[in-house]
Amino acid sequence: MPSRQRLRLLGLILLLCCQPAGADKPLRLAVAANFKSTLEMLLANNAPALSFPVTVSAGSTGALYAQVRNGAPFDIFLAADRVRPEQLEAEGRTRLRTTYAIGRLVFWQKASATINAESLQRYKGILAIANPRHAPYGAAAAHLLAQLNAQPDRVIQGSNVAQAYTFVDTGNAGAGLVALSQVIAQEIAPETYWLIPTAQHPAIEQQLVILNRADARAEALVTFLQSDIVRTQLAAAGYDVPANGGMALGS
Amino acid sequence: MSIRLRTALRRSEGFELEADLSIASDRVTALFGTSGSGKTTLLRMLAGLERVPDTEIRFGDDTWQDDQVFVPPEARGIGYVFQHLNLFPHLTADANLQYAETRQHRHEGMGRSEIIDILDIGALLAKLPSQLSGGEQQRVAVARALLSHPRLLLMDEPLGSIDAAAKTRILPHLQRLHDSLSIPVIYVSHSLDEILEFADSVVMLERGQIVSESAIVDFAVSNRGASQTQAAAIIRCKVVSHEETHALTEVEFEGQSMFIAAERYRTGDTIRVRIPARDVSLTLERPVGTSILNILMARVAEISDPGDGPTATVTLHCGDQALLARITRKSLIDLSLRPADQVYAQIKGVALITEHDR
Amino acid sequence: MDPDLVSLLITLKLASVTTLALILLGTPIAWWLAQSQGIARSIVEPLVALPIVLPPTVVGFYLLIVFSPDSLPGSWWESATGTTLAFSFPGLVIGSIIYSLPFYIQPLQVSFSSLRQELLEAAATLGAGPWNRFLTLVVPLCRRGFIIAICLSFAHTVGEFGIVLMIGGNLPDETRVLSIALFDHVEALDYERAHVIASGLLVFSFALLFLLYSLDRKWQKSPLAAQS
Repeated sequence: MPSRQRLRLLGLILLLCCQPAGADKPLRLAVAANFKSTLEMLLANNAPALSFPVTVSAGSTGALYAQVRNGAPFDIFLAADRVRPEQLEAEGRTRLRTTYAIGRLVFWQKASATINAESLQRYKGILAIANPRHAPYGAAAAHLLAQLNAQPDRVIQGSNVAQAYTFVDTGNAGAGLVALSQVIAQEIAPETYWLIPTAQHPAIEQQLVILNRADARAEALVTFLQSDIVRTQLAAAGYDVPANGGMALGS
Repeated sequence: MSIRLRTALRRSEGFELEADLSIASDRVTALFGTSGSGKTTLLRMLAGLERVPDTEIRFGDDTWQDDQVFVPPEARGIGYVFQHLNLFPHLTADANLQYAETRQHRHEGMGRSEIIDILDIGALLAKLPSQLSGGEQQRVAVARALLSHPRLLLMDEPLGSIDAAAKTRILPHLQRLHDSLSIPVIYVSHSLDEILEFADSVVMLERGQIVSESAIVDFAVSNRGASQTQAAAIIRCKVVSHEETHALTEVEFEGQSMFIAAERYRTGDTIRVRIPARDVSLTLERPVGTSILNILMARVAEISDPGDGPTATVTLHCGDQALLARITRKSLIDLSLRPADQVYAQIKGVALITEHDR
Repeated sequence: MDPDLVSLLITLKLASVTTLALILLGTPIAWWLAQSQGIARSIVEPLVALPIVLPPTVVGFYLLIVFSPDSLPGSWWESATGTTLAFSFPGLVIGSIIYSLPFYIQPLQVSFSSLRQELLEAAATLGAGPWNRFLTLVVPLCRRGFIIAICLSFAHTVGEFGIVLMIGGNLPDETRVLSIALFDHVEALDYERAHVIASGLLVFSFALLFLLYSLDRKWQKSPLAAQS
């Protein structure tokens, strides 16, 4: 065979050897925006534990939900609440639903020197919370405010807890009810925020679902997310973890 | 009423204008020159539409511009007619006139009905400018400028974008106007024809410099006037009698007669005629059996130097008045014409254009 | 009152106030841009056009920082009025003015540019001063430009979302405009109410544009066509 043709054949063989086989198609995760950085941190810290590639798409829970319903090619959907996952399950689109993290609420007052349990009740300025209607942190915050009978001058709503955080951070709101994971990630001075006891507000259960189209690797990933190593890292990041480890069908 | 303008303008594209202009007349002064000679710029400066530094403009006792002062156009009490696009398109002709009437500069001025009559725009009043022809629009524009009762009327090539036929129709109106006006008019044009019809004196501009200032009659036969393509002489004559059968009128000047179509005039009226140089040919002897009606005796006063060109212009004297004839260089040589020669001028074109003496 | 109806009223109020503000602020800017040639224009023109290409979230983000009581304008506002500029209707108006600025100025500027100078000069010689010339000539002759500018900036403000999301605070009585209400409904899976708002906005936008284009066709045929 002439040398040029031989070279071409060689190239073709090499190419075929380097092609990823079908089994190495990435597992696609859709995650609520407020958990995105934490998820990426977990994946990065524990990369060797996973033998397949994973892609992460973030968005608002509602938008992602709508996309999933309309056929978006996600394998696992990590929502910020349990409402949307329950809805998907009721629609028969999922084969697994479980809590992957429990959010914690903090009262953060940027300019305060000492903060304690009464600070929220005493607070008088503008308070920022997430939207109670569709953000679980917001729902929890609203419930808390009603319970404590707190009387801030005004309560303004960010579209999600990240925006509530931004309002406080830029000084437009004097204080806010935001996520523990946020103040930890941003290394906020601990004397400016107060961790709200879980008893005082409804649980902020963040649930995920495995969608029917996913292959067995999805179960592997969920197992990974509920492994001890990951649970430790989650706690350090500001989340509580569900009491029972391992996969739970419904909860 | 004296109008004084002094300026020295230099623009980057090489355009220069240096003028020290003094107009002390209450009549029509023409600014004559080719495009780019600076005449429109001068007019706009007078109007306040161009503000040129280092310029002094005075109108009578009022200072319109100097180092400290600049009076904006709306406060100068002027009327201005542009070459085109005068009328406000969203208003009827009548509403355009009213625009001027509600902002009159002063009380004295021509009345509305008089202006409408002279310019013959009565039938046009209800129309929008888009429904009027170019000539009609300009007549309305002149009327509007007059209705603002200006102290000074400025006209920038008002007949410039009108076709020849429409021009012939408008000119009589402008002439009638001229007779009724008692304010000074400055009329910019590059057409000697128009100027000869309408102006009393001429300021000629060439490349941004004033090269001549004189009365119209003198300018017509001056070197500059005579060298123009449209060169013509203006003759003042008196109506002697009308001849009904041939529809001709006999007019007399300097002891000679001409026959022209002028039935509008009465015996004894003094009128002016414009005789284009190209319509005048010369013979050394009195011609016989010719179809040309008007043959005048004249004496050669001056002959222009044709250079290499095909024609020369001969200035003739008929008594106190002057006449121009344009002949070929060949004929000049063949006839061996010299100043003081006695010749006969044959006038082909009967060009009565002016209605009244000025 | 139904909260979505309240949102509708807030939206209409925001669009109206913004459009009025733009008429007052934007008209002189558009006029100046149409008349001038120099360096100043080459800077102002792209600045005016900026909100067309900038993501609204960028504008909203910077506004959030500027409105904050920690910054000069924000603290000035707070000492003058006692409230924050963010999460307030005036704050939204400021954001909307910036957001819809080019939609008002550009069509108007084009209309002004097509106005022939001789007409203004003629009016001046007839004794009309600058303001009078503007009212009696520019406004009627540039009527088309004004109407397009007003309609576009109004409609554009009705659809505003990104900026309001950033600085609105979602206050039901003050800053929850229709687009935010729509977003809320979608997030909360209340698709029925979402449809009501979405289809309403769609019909409104189409009706406005339909009207605008029909008017435009009518104007093209009018004798003023050369002057608009």
